[in-house]
Amino acid sequence: MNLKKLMAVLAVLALVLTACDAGGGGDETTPTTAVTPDDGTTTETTAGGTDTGAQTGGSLLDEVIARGTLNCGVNETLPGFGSKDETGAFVGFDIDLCRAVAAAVLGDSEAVNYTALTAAQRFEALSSGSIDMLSRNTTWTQSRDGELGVDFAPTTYYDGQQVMALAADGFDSGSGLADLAGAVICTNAGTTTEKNITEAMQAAGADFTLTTFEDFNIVLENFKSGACDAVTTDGSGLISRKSTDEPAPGDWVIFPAVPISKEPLGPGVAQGDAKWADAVNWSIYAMIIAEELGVDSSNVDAMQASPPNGEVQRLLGGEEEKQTAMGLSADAFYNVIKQVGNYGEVFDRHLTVLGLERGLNALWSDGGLIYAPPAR
Amino acid sequence: MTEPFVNEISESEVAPDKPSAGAIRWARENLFSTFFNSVLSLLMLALIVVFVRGLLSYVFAEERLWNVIPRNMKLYWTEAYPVAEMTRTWVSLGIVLVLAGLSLAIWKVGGKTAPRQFGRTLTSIGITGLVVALLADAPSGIRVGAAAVGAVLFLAGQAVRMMAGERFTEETIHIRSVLLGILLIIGVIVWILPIETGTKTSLTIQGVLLIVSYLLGGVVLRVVSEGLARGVLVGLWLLSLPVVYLVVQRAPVTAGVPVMSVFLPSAVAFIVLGGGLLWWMSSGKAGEGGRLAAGVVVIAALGCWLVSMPMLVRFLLLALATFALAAPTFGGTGKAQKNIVIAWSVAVLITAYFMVMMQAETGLVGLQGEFIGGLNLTFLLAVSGLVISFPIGIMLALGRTSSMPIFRLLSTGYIETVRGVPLITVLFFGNLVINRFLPREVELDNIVKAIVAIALFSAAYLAENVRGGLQSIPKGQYEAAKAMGLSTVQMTVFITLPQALRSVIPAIVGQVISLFKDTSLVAIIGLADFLRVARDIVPNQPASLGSLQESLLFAMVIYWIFTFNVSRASLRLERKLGVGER
Repeated sequence: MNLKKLMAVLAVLALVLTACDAGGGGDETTPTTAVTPDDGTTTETTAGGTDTGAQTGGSLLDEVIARGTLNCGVNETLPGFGSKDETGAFVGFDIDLCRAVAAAVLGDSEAVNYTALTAAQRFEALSSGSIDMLSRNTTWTQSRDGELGVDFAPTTYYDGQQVMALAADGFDSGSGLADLAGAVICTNAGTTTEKNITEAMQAAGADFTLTTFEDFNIVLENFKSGACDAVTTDGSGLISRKSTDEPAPGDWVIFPAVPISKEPLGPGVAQGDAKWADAVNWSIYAMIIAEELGVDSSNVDAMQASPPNGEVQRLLGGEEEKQTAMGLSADAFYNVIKQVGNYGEVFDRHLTVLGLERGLNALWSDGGLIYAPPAR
Repeated sequence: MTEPFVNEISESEVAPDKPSAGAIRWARENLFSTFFNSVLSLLMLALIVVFVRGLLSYVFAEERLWNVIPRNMKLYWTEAYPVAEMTRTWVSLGIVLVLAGLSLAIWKVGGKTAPRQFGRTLTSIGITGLVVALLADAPSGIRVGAAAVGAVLFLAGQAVRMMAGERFTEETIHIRSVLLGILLIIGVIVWILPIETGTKTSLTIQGVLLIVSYLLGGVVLRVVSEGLARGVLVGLWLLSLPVVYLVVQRAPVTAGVPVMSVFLPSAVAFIVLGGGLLWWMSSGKAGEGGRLAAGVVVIAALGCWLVSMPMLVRFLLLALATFALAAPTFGGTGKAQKNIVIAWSVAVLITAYFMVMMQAETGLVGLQGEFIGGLNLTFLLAVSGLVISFPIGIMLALGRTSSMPIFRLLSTGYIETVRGVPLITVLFFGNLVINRFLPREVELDNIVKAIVAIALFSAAYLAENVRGGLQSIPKGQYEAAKAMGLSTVQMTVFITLPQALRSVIPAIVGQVISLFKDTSLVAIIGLADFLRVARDIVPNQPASLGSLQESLLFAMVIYWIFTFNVSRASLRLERKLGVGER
């Protein structure tokens, strides 16, 4: 009996010893989370959060180039700006801004690792360094710039909150907020649109009932069913829904002509990394300048071969180019225009098809607000 | 008077009537038997007509964007899974279907049905089609189509019934041939539908796999015993879970994993030494020494999580502790000893294999973050959550009914705490906190964290269901087991637990259904499950704007199909096990 007890204890000890031996052998393996994209570059999805440039002293630009992919925070639920196509790939105006930066910095517009973020998550993701760049229809405001630590890139879309109601109820494009007295106005919860409409209606001296729903699709269903007299959100959202959901042309009207709020939308980066911010800013300026100069993705090769003027030559990486001084390759902006397109092309591809007009977002030379410093 | 009761209905009365006469007579007897009954029937009929008409005109209204659904099938199915890797999801479906086919054959699911019954089913489907054609406010093409299909099915049903007549009242039609027919019809429809040829081919292969594995199951039954086949199949089903997870999330490569230097030697050492230990412990002669050894193993298994050690060894020691605790209960004879050692060897090899797989590089190119979403993720979460929660829930139930205060206290505390908080908070908490409880080198991905959270949550509810079953067992059962000289563990495993589980099947199925639907809450921790795809992603595509209603209705139908089938399957299981009858 004692012998058996001894044997049992010995067997257990032997097992534990094997275990410890294997453990001490230095073969401790850690789960690898390396992803190898098919283009051959290597991605590392570091779990502990990447260091931001401000922490290490180096710029995020060098880190992104070393990493080989751009981490971009985007929206997956805003038609035209950021959504997913039938295969699950991200598409939209804001997505193309990520692609443009990736083309400029890495030479490959597809080397982007997208993270879908909610409005609440976005600034935390940016400040923690889990994304390099935020391109998620974010309004440039004083508090975000000052307190939340976001450095905004140039505004890429000038939006403004408006109201949409039924023509059958007597509204037309000349209507004002005062005409909405007594109406049930619906919007999506948790955004500044709630606050804006309340303040604007108070200023107009009109009583109204505000009803909020979780997302704008549900707001619109309630508008269509008649539960809401009017809906309010950014003008771009109203126009795109009008163009797809309106029962008959002219049934719905959008007003007031001057929006009740200013919503300059654009990408943002974490504060305090001027080199990285410059790379992002100039990727976008390059798209605007290209449109001004008539350079687009179809003629960029010809333009590069025989530039019509000095600015085109510099922009596309010819003599006296300024890109290498910024830490980018000489042909960075050529890649942007070739792979993504100029500002106008991107706008047409994603927003014109939804019924949005250039309006305020036309080039400054056409009476809009889109303006870029010269490339010289 | 003890006169035996004799059913004195004459032959002419049981003989089947002409179908139409039967329907009228049935209606007269059941719906219009009295004045009051007739009024009620007419009222209800009017209500049904109004409701069905409303529903149909909603579904067939011209502004419905139904084309959004077939176009986005890939999103609903897998969300952002890389297109180039879609074969993996088909392989995972194939694994499940092969197992399903084998199970259908080995459990001999679906007996036979009488031709009359079959004819009646066809007729009622036909009538449904005709009702749709009559009531739907749909384009005339759809109405004519529905009417044609309905009429054909109605006539076919009537023809079957006429031919069957009085002669074939016995059950002669195999359900499986009916299912095969349905499968073939689906196959034809798939090839008519305007979808990609690749998808058509894949779907066809899946159908063929199902049929072939069913036939294979029949062959297997002829070679091996039914009990063995069923046992192995249950094991394969359990194994299929991690296999499917690995197939869709990882690549079967071993690069960067020390297979030869660590994994193989460890596995062999555990098989030999652990096997010897278990052989001795299950011999029935171990006595006190056996308990001491089991105690040492349990302490080693728990303690090894505190010191630096390969994960493989930690898991193998945990497995050994489980086996060591179970060995005295299931051991005894030489044959039982051999089975335990074989089971142990298989368990070691499987654990080692999965550890290799988990540590290998994924080799997958994700578009972002988690690879899989949509319906696949919903299934993965629901099924893994359920399977993992089952043993935990049973343990908790036994703990709560245990006579040992420490177990009772811990189990009760756990159950009441978890049942007192919403699933959303458990998911959030799990997402943020689970990694802190694990060794530093282990980093779980969000899907695994969600599975763990769901399983832990579900286990508390399951424990209460099982406890109800345990408490419903008559005291005599316990006393009889004790009188037979069974140990407490043997009594629980062989006598009380099986009865308890059988009696709580309806409650457990209710929980399975709610678990399946509750998985949609994972959207808040950023996972793109089926409902999130249907609600947030698809209706916000520029090309699909305004399709929220269609997409949600589609989601409802899919959820309904699966939960309805789960409850039907449980009804069959209850009938088979005689729940509520003995």
